[in-house]
Amino acid sequence: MVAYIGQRIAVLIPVVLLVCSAIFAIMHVLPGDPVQLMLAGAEAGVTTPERIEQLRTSMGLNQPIYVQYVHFIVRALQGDLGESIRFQAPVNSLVDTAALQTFQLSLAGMFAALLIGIPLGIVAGLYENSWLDSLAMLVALLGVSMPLFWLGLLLILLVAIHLQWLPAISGVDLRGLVLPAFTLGFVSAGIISRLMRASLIEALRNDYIRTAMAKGVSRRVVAAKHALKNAWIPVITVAGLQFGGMLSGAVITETVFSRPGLGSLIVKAILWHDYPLIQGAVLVTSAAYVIVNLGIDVLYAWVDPRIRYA
Amino acid sequence: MPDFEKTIAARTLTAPRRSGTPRLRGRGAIIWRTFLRNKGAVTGAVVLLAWAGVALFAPRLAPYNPLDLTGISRQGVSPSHIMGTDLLGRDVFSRVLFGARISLAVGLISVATGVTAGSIVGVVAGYYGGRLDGVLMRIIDAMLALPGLLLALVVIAAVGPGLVNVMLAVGVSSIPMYARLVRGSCLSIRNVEYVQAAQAMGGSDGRIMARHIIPNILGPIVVLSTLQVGNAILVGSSLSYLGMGAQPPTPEWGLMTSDGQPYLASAWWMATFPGFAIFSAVMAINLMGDGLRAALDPRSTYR
Repeated sequence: MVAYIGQRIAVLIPVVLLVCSAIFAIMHVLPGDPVQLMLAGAEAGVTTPERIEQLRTSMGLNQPIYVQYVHFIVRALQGDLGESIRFQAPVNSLVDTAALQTFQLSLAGMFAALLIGIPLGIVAGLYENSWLDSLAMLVALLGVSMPLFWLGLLLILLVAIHLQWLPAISGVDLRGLVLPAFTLGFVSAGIISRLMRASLIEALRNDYIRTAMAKGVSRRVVAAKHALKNAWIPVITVAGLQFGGMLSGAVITETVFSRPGLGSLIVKAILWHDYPLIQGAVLVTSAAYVIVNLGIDVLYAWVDPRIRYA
Repeated sequence: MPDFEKTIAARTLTAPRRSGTPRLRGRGAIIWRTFLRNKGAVTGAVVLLAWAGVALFAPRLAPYNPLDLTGISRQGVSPSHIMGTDLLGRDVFSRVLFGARISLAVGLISVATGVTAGSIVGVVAGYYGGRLDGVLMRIIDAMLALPGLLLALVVIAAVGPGLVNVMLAVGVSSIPMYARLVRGSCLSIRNVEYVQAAQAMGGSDGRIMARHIIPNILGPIVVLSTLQVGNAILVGSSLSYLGMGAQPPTPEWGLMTSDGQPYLASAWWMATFPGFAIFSAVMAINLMGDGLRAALDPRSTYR
């Protein structure tokens, strides 16, 4: 097991270095002076030649590009993400606060996805080709076809504005998290329910199910104790992968519901040309995504030892 | 389906592609019939054709110019403005119709970008193997270290906002998917007889890849691309919603939804109709893509 984890991490090292390089390159792709772009975005045109020179020196942009590159990688590996132009504050603290918010939203989104997806999938699998099965299929189809921001707006319109059940803007209490969580979790709910259904149907076709039925065990007990136990494994894996993907959906969800978080921070940073903030936030998001996926790989290998020797 | 047809289907689906032979017509007919039996797929195809028609004939169909100020601000749904007017008094219906042009173009162009670049990477990696394969796949892994929309955002961060850059960003973010699919398929047919025969006859690597490998793995690429057009429209309109894509006054569906959001309580039509347009187009493509996948899947012809 330790060897397997070590091997997985070894594969990640070149990936992490390549990601760092790509993130470093963001600032240098466009022709022109990144310093002027940044100041135009962050300080709205009140740039003096002194300010430009000062920023260029403080960011080390007057050094040769390979020196900048090595500095960037070394600092990133030490966990130092530099200073935001717009906020005049360390990127680390901005990103930390935002990451916590996004993590909370992703957890809530995952919870919503499981809450809808699992029961729907089980019912669809048990009553194959019934109207419940069609309903589950429809949810899955809506999930992959609806733009997240539109789903969020429809929920705000219906639940917050017309029915006035829940607030549209996320406040301090948990009630404000319900609509964003549902919006974020909806896509995954569809995917999870389809998989739960397929997995359960497959499990129900096994010989041991027929044996249990032949022994006179009731259909309900067979489904709950024999079939479901074996149907879980693929669902857990995909749910884990979906959790990583929540980071992507969080960008939209946070913007729709005006929530602070990594996603909305990245969007604002791009619109402001705040390169240190973009780089820091993207680096942290990517690291979180890679770590979550590594965790799932390891968990899966632990649950199903055959993976380790494949 | 009669038994002999099943046998033919089973044989032709594993045989290499040879155009103009009766066998291929048989396979095509089976695929076509499977597709037509699927109600969802046919509905999707009809809706998609309707949107394509709207995109082509938008200037004739739209009652107003999408950029003209045709009425008072935020006028509700009425016979003269069947989807109301927006903040500046422009006709939402006309803007939605013209928006079809932009979204379909974003979908098609970004998919074309992604499938071309991704297939080249995939076929080169799969065909040559070895160290080149290792290097290319590490780069692909690095791209996969960012979930979909974020990879597109990183491209936008580097090249700046705008509609053309959105197509590039969405295309680039789909490269890993195509590269992996094509590489996998390529590995599975790299050593079959007709490829070896072409090598023995002295065919150049480029020719073998273009004439023998790519045509024989086209099925899964076509299916993925069809479904991906829907996804590209979703991601593209999301980027415009975030302010990274189309800029005002372009009648782009995502941007229109974003413009309408602050007035959701007083003028619900501004954000609702453009969003529904995205949803209906993407749903149509997904239904059609699923039908195509089922029809092209050799196993489904046995049912």
